[in-house]
Amino acid sequence: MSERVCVVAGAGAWPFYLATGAWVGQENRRFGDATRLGFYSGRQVQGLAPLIRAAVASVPLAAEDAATRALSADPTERRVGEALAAALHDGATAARVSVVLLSPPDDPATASFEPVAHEADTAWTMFQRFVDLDRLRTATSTADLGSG
Amino acid sequence: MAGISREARRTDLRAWYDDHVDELRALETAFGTHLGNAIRAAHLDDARLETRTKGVESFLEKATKSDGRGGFKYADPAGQLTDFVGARVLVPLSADVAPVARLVQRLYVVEEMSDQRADSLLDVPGYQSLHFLVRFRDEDREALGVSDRPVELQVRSILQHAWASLQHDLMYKGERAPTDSVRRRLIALAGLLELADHEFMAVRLAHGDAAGMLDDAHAGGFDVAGVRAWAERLAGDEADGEPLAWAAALRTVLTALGATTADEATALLGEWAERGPELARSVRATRPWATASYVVDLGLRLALGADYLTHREVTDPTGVDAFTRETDDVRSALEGSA
Repeated sequence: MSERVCVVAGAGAWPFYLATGAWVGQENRRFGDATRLGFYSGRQVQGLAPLIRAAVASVPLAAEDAATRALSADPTERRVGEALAAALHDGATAARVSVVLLSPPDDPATASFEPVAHEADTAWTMFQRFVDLDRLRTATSTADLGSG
Repeated sequence: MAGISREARRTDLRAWYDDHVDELRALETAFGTHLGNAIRAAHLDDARLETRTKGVESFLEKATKSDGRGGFKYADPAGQLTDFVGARVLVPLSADVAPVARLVQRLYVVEEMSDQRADSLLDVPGYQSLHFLVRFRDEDREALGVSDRPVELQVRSILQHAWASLQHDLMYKGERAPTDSVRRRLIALAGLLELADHEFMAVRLAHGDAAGMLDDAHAGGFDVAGVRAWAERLAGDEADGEPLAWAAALRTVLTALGATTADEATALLGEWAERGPELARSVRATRPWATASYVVDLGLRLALGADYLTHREVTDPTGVDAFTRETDDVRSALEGSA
């Protein structure tokens, strides 16, 4: 059975992932049965679907939390802190956020495929959509992805 | 345990207490003055110190407690009891407990320390307090001319104290045991007060103060502000650029590594103490958010290697692997940029 990918929308999420290997967004965001995240921005599904390695549903987006976690000896805590610090540096302002730690772009566990273009007038998603990884690997446009 | 023997014991112990009460009160006065002066010198102005000497009736009641088997719980209460002299430091918020605790650890011989927050069920709100059993250091005791008895010391926030006092009265001083419903409501109140404590800290932060960062000048200049200045100097950054929260986190790391002064911390870094600006440039190429404290922590990881993890009590292979990978990557990046 093909792995499920939750493709999230947002122009900032893709460069943020490339820089940090993480996704930071709305508190308590649910990703259903997805084991991977994908990124929709610039009218295409970007060509990487990293594995979800760890997720923190709700954490304060504050310097105290970023600092304490980023200087933790626990590697997962440290990565969460680094993601928070990066989000703060980028100007994120929510009181609490969800942090998802992902396999890095150059990690063999990260699935890669050709970016899938979206050609319709309206956005393919403005929030998130679920698709099978196998479909992403073979699709040439979002029309090939079906309804998910 | 015959009634007469209990009475006889009370008589003997009352006589002992009368003989020693002046010594106990002298210890209370000396401890109160000593710790009070230290608190003022450290500018922990919002900390409130209370002391007391155990009263004779309280002593007799405890000293003649039954062991449930016909004997007494304490064979030698005069020697066994440790709460003849007690002290309590109340601080505004739970984040203010740590500076007082550090002060106590520096001033006295700490025989026991128990964090009632850590010992209790972490997922159920309830009693929270930091307890110490301390004695004067030999030189201080001799200078003050007081006995070698220990002093029991509690450090807790005002809200923790409010809950503990009310809970104690309801649980132990009433004529009947509280019902499950009353206990449940007490636990709910503890949760409410814990949330209030967090909210007060958030308000304090919003107002520009730093939670847990009362002026702890007793740290010999290596308080949170001192750590920030030291880290920024090492990283080659301008002064006062990073939020104090980062320096507070770094200070915790340094304490775990055994460094409580700038010299000790610099010594831990070894050659990396000279390579701070170079390390900062390399790290910030991929982590532009990296603060001076983050860079210095990375320097400590590079300098100490496995010792860093040992001091921070990391033993699981995942943690060790991640640590090795990260330090290797940083070294490679440095070599690549050299």
